Amino acid sequence: MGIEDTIQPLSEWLLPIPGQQLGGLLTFMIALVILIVCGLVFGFILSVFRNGPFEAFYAVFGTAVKSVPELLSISPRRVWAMTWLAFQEAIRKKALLVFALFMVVLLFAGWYINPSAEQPVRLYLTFVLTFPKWLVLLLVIALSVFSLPDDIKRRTIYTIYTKPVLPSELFLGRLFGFVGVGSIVLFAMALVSYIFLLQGFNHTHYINADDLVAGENGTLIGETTEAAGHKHGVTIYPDGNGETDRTHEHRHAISTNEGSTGPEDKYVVHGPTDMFQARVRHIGNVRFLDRSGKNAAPRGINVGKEWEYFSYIEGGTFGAAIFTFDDVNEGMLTEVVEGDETKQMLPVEFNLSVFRTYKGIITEGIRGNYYFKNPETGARSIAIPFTAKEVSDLHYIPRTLSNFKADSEKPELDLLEDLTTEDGGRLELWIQCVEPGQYFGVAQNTVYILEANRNFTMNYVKCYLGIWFQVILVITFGLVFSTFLNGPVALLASFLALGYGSIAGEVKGLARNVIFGEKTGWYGGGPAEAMVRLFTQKNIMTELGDYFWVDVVKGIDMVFAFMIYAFVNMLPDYGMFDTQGFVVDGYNIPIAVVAEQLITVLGFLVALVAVGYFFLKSKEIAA
Amino acid sequence: MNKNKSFQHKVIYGVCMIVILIAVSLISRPATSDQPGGMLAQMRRDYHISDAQLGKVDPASEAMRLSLLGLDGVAITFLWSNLNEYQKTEQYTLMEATAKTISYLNPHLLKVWEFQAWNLSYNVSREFDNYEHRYLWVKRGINYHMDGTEYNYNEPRMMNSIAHFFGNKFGNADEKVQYREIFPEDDLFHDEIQKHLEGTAYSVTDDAEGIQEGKPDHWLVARLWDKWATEVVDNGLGSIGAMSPTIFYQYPAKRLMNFGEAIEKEGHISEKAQAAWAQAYEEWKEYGDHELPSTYGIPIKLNDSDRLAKELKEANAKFDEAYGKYGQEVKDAKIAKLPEATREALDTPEADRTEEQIQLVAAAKNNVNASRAEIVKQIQENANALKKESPDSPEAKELAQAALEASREANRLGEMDFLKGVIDRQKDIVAFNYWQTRALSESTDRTVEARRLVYDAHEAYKDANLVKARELYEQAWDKWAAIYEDYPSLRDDASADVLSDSIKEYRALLNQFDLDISPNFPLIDILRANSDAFIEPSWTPEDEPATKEEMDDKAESESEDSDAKPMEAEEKPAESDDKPEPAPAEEEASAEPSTEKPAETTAEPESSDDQPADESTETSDESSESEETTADDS
Repeated sequence: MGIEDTIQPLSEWLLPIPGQQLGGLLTFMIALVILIVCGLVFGFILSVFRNGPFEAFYAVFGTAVKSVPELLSISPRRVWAMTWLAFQEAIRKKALLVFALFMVVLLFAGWYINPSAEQPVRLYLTFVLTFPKWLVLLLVIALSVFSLPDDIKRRTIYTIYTKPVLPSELFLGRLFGFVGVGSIVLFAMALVSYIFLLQGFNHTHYINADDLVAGENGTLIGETTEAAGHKHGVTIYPDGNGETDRTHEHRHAISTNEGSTGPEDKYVVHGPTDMFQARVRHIGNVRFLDRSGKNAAPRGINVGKEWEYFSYIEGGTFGAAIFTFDDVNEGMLTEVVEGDETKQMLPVEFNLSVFRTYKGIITEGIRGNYYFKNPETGARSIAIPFTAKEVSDLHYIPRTLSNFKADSEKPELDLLEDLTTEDGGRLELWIQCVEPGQYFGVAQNTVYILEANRNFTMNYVKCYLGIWFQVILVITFGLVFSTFLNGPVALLASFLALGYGSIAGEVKGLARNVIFGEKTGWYGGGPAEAMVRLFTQKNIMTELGDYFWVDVVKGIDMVFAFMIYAFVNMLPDYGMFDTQGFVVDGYNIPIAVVAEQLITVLGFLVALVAVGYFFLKSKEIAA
Repeated sequence: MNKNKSFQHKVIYGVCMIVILIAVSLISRPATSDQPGGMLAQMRRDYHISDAQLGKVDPASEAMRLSLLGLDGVAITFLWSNLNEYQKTEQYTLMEATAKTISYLNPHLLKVWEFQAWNLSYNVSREFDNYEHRYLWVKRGINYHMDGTEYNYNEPRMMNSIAHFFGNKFGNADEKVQYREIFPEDDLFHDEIQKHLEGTAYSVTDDAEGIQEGKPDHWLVARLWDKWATEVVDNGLGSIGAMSPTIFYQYPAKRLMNFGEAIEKEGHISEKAQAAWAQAYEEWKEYGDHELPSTYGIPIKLNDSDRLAKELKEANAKFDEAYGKYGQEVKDAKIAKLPEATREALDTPEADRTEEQIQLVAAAKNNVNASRAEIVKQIQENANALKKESPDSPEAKELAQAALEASREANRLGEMDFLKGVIDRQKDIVAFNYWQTRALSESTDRTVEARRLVYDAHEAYKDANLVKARELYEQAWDKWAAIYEDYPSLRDDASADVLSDSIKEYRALLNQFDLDISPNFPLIDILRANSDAFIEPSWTPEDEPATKEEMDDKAESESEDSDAKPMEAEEKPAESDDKPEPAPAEEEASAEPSTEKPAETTAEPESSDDQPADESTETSDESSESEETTADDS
């Protein structure tokens, strides 16, 4: 899940939106029903072969009915015993060696990660959030898929079956045991990575006091020495303290050394700060106006870039990008000291892209302006000019803004009282580019109100929580596969499930597009239509015509699409658990994301444990 | 029985394995200080392909390669696809890190270094709107490229490519003005460059010092890399592969010229620029004397062309003198065989020929001339005929001897012709004569003064001091007219193009006085050639009689004043020596009239092969810039 994805609130995510999504809850229910039906049919067919159709009905019915009291008689003590066994088994299989491997790689990671890169934080974070994840996932796949088949093969499983242990307890025990081992390894890796992260950036610079020159208002300005491939500009304030500029994603604080012996050690440069961020975004909804200032659309102009994240507004026209923020309230304002007074201001961060159709003045950026508008009353502030930067550009908007209309009674407007609607606290931010022929690139999540800057460590933990969820799911899948497949095949199946997980988003999108009839770019229909075209030699752009059989063929394809849609939801989309994009870009992971992950994991757990139980049960019958 | 057989098999397999293992260990035994090692080690040493000989043995790179157990190809493919994705989604830091990882896995593939360095310097840099960011990414691309030299010692092509980045990316980009301002101040980068130049005797701050003391100029840094590259080739340590040696060896001198040109454009019309041009002239001459391998297997020297031309001229004259009459015989015989109409056309005086006759003559002219081989053949035939008539006559013998000598001489001349042709083609590739003349002209006080006048006039114009600007411009034109008179070949080139902007400014200035340039303006052809929409000045009565004479007087007095006169006079014959075959050279020049710097353009494909496609954007930007200027000025 990247920062560019739209994050829905939990309630919206769970419930269906007609014509757009089925919602988490409904999808879960449909998948569950399909699972039960398939399970019953599959069990029945299997049983028919073994016992004949008449007995098969009773066997399936009996197993299904018996599962309820068995579920209720699960004993935590026995589960714990099984867990402990699985845990010991994992340790015996030297699972912890993976941690040693991790430490070895970490020892040499410094060779490959360049702290003098332009954005070192990005590099380090990408490494510490990706490498341990894959290591642990591989470990738990190997642990989970071979455990049960090995036991069955070596017949050691009978020593357990002869004890009063239920299949569900056996399954849960393994699950908890392996999750336990995976969690311990993952926790240790997270901890060591965190230390590695902090240590990797630790560097300092020196300042020679003789090289400083006088700046404005009694300050001294100059430069630090080079370290980790960069230097900083320095400003020392009259009180003897100072700070550096922000280079390579960090700055340093400076203080005067009381016991200095010469100009070299007169000032002490402290360790790097501001490196790790967890900014909380209050995201609005964007819409674009075309050059005539009309026809609001969810996307602007496409300037032909392959990456379609940004869409553009034309400069020197009425074209604009309008962000509507909901629930704007006083809590979002921050106190900013300006001169001698403290003012309340709204921090808004811009991350705009610039596209030039002619060179213009190279040394100057492209100019634009923005203003605020009340979507209900139409009151608007005067335009504030700015120059687009390609880095995060934080603007502090004063609470009181001049009125655009020449109104002698109300020359100034209050951001919250006048420009925000009373109902729902909606506030519109209009962004325009003023230079003709030049364009601003804007995307949904690139302009936002900066609510706060939270604790990075907490963000890091949340990201690892996402990885942990993946570990749980991978173990569960591995175990389920291993209940009916032998070791190597289960391994392959697990890898496929994991691999599919990383492209699940696209597959889901495809199925959804077919069902909801969105623009797909998918020509030629589904399998039935494709076959018709193949035999009638009609290429994918040729219309099939308006016949009854065409409707039938398309109907069959629709069934396929529904099946795919149902099927894609049977396997988890691992993309939704990857929150490293947030951490790397310095954004706080919204709690809604974590909640959605948790609910998804729980849903899968319930279904998978049930599936695993029934498969084990069928093994028991076979035995 | 079966058991025995299986045991026997095992023993045979075991013995085979042991034999093979022993053989493998013998072949691949590593070299030690007192032992040459196994066959593989010796071959590695002989072909200079052991890791330690190819470049720095980096544990990071080796560890990564070995840990992949031979799957580095797969890993590279995967990483390359990742890199493209990072580039697409504008995550350039990760992209750069991935490029580094790819080259760790594949450190000896030069094209990878070059491709990704290009990608960073040219494609990534232009994704940024801010020129400082652009500079940063150009620099990162160069840094990446320079890292490549650590893993690949003595690779002149790589050094040459790095020099190209230093020179052309900083010096010819849209942002060149800004880049040239930032580069001399970028101490950290200078340290980086110095680290990579450690194996040489060069110092970035001393040997590449630009205008300011201790601050290097990027053109001169490029020159250091080029010099290093040529030294490596000259010492036999590295090879340039299929790259043209004529193009390769020109760079050290060429970068000096680029430097001189760049600083003069910036208004540093000083001794420094003049000295740079003078040194460039000397080095260009040395370059002309450098022995270059040619594709025909004959080593050539570009300066030999002039000597050959002189010798050929003399030898041709002697040949004509000795065997001219036989040539005439051949010609007559050929004419006799021509159709009636053609012969009639040839007999008709040139002025009276009809259109049809002119065409017939043109078609026949080349065919009727006698080639040396035909002359030799004719002498031989004559000798044979004479021999038939009177076998023992001394005339027959004499004629036979003459035929032999003529044949030898014809062969010798043919070889000289061929060699001259080879050399001239190479000279055309780098526009040798043009740059030689240019360097010579630029190193004279007169050109420096002319440039200074134009620059001062421009400054005066910017300050709205129109009278002074006009006065300075007019002084400058006199000097330029004299320069172009002495070096006519400079008229059609890039510097004339630059000058045309100044002439346009001068014309605009005159317009403010309600005047226009005179149709007799000595540099009007330069203006005409470099304007998209040229409006011819109208004739006024006072333009017609006096001006030409005045101009001549002025030119004369000017050339008398000039210090450089003796040198130019010496140089002139050399120029005219080129004249015997002016047609092909001129044709080539006219085929590419818009080529700014012929040598640069011909060099381009060499280094830009397989480069990502964005170069065209760069060029089109530049061209649009010049279009804009033209439009504005006119």
